[in-house]
Amino acid sequence: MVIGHFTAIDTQGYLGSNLSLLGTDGGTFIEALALRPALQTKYAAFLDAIESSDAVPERVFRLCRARIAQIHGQQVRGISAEEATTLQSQRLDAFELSEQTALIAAEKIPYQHHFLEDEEVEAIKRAFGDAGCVSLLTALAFFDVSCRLNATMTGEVS
Amino acid sequence: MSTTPRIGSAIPGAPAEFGTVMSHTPDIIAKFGDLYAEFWQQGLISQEVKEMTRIRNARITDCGY
Repeated sequence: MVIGHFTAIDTQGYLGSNLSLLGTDGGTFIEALALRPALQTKYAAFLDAIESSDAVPERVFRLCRARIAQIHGQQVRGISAEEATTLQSQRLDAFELSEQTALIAAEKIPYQHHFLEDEEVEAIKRAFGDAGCVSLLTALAFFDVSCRLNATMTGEVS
Repeated sequence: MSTTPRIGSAIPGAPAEFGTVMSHTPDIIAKFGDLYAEFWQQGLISQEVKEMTRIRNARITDCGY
């Protein structure tokens, strides 16, 4: 079942990496933040708090993080090559309904955030509850921020 | 773009705004506060320049803040 709708975006995903969210094994803006250790530590703690939500399965975060990275043309981390291909093709019906609600929002956050509809947010609330909705939307926004910082600080662009 | 709050306040009697909505996730808002304070209060860039860029960013992204 497909709910909502996507506006097609020409994206290019890069597969094959298993780098962590924080990029501690290289190549992301988090390394650059080492010049400001307190900022680095607090940014990492914030991201960790977002993804520690009990209301949202870790897999949902991984899928959304990967899709937002694809939209930005950056390295996809934490999912299989098959899942990455499915995400790239925007075949929502390959995912669970709750995952679909999250991926619809993930699709819009980077460049279409004003087109996120009330009913799409309601679907997220039904799937994950109010606290889960806050956790997820915050996560999506900062997955996007992380990609933008990567592009700005490391030059990783599509 | 919605013009009404999509998520209610987590604080009874308080209107839905950034802080009260984020309070649905106390650990996240606490860590966000730590990060935001570090960003605003520390570093080599003046608060005036940070605020100027914040306003510019808000205008570009059509944000009401």
